[in-house]
Amino acid sequence: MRFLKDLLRFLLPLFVLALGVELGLRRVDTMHFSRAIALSQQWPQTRVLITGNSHEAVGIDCRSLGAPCFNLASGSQSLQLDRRMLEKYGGQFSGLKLLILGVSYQSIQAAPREPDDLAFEYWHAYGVDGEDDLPWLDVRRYSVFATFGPERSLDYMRRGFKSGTPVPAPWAYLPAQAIVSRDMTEQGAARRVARHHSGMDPREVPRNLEALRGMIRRGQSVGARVVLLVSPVSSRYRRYTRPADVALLHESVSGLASEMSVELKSYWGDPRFTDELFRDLDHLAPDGTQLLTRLVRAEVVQAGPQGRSLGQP
Amino acid sequence: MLFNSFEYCLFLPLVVLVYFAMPGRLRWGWLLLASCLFYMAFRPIYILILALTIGIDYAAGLWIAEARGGRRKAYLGLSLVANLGVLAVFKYWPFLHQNAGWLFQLAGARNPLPALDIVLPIGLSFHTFQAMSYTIEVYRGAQAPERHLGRYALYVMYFPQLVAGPIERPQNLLPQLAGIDDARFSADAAASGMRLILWGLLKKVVVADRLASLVDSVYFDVGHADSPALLVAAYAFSVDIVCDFTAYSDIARGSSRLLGIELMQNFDRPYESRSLTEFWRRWHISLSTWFRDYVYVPLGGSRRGTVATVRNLMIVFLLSGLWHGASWTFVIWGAIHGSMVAASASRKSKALPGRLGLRTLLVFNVVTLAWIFFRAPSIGQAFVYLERLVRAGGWLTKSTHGLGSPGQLVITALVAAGVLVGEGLAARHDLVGKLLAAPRPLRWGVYYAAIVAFVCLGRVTNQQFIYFQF
Repeated sequence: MRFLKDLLRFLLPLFVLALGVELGLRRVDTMHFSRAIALSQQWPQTRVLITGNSHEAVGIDCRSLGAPCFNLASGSQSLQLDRRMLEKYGGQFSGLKLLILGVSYQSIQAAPREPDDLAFEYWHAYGVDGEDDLPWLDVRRYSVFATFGPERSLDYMRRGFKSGTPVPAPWAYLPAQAIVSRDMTEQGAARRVARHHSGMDPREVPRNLEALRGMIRRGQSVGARVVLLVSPVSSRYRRYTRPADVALLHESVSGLASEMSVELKSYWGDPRFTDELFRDLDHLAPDGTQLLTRLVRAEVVQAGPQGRSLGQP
Repeated sequence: MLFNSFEYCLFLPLVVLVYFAMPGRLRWGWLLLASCLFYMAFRPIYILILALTIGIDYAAGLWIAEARGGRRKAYLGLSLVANLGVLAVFKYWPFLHQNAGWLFQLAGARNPLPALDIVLPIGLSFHTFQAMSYTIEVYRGAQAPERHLGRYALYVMYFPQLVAGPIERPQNLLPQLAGIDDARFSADAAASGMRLILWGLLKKVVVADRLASLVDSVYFDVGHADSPALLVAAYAFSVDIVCDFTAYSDIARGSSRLLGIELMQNFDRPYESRSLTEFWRRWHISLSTWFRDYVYVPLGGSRRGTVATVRNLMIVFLLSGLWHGASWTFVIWGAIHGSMVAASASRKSKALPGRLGLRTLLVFNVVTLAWIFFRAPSIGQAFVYLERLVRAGGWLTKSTHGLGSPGQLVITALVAAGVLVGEGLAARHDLVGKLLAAPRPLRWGVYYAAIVAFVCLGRVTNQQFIYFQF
């Protein structure tokens, strides 16, 4: 008994310290934690909701869309994570009129990954269980410190539990500096597309289409119009894509659009998006973001049956 | 289940608490159940392999003890064939199949061996060797057969040393398992066990896993790595593997000590060796002594002249290489060590020339060079590694491709040096004894510092231990 008492006395300060650190880290204004707070503040007035990965996150600026909008897209956010986010939060968007679902070359074939730190960050920030069910016996499920890792956590602690790089209006769009690769060379393009290819498998298309179906049904159940959106990428990026995979992307999304009676808007290979409008190989620069936002506003938001009335909450 | 996982953090205290709370006669069952769960966390179906060999070895032990004359040898043969057969099928089949394929291709014939797509059961080489040492010792009359099937199963499956050793001898482990009914909790043993676990975790998570990420990135793209990066990675792997494997042994011994069972020491600061013979007396002691007692000595050891000694040493080291992995890289690694030890054995003066510190440095460098074959994915890659390491132009680069940021590299080097030097100093100056004699605030301060270092400098990645693959 004395040993146990001593052990508990030894461990107590560690538990107190760990608890303090965990509570502090849960308050850090990281992009996902800030976005989660913004979500609960924004959903009553949101009329347009955008999901997708980094292409939509940096590509569409909600502030210029002409309607109260929330950009829920984020870097490396798979269609499965989109679906989980919509399952969790979709019902809260009571005034939702338009749901834009971003689909990309790699996301339509994305294979499930081992639960990584990002999946656990989603769990802590949004309470969604990641792409697959996160293992119960993984310390990252319970600890933000373990999820962020020691270096990142210690950095936040040094800053007094502040991120040091607060993201302005995270619901509007993601400043591209956060996620882009600046390697614009041919080799860089080949490497980037090869990296995307390494996580792609055509056998995953049915699973990802099912996620899209779930999201479409969710949007339709709250009376929203649903649009599938394929964002533009640079010509250099397209040069290294595989024609069969590009065809599979277009066949899949157009088939789904007709099956579920939703609209499809694809900017893949759109000549208006010249390479100068890209910050890197597949992410738009500010001018490109302005153009895509303008086009989405004109061709998607205002072209719908409710047209310009979407602007009025 | 990995020792450096959250599961094990919950598993071990639960096993220890229930173990000491339950009636003594039920403890073997509890430990066996815990060991089964521990093993099944990796690949549940493979427990059937263990069950099969446990059944055969248990029966063989009893039959050997009761039989006379040639039948004893037959029963021993049955046990060895069963264990080596499991190894041959599950570990060496792809290697045999591939090499047979090349030979048949040379002869213009089709490979008659079927290809089997088998995932290697974790720790297979460790528990089959431990099982074989039981039947051999019973055959030699040095160990009475274990009549309690559950206790024998626990001898093979005891979870702290099940998947990466130490490869225990029945004379050490079975009597301790027989005594667990009356075992009482010892606060001193528990504290000592926890210190070993903490030290092992520090070595694994803070040193080995940091170095592993550096080593992996260089070995991943050897063809494009520059000479400085290759040199750093070679030394990094030397430190990585000793920290990784000794960490496992420390955590295994510490976990077992919590249960009141003492496992053998598997390492004795191998990089302080002044000859390769000494290195093998200090490195993976349970495997070295296994080969010495069951292969080298039965072959005649060093009793039949220089030529026979050299032959016996080469056989032992080639087998030791193959024990580590079914690949020619491991055979070459064994051959390098074997030829160096044999060369040393064939000389009149066994010691290497030079001053003491220089000899240690020389041994460390030879061992580091041999590790390149151990770590490389193929012989071709190992030679590319060596060629790029020594080519003249490779040293003109300023690139640190693959080594990470200079800051991280410095932290990793300092931590690794601190742990290695600290371990040596602790052993030479009895620092643990001095720590235990220190006032509690100082003692606890050291433990807290170790825990903080573990949390802040560690890589929490559930990285597997290197020796699990063997």
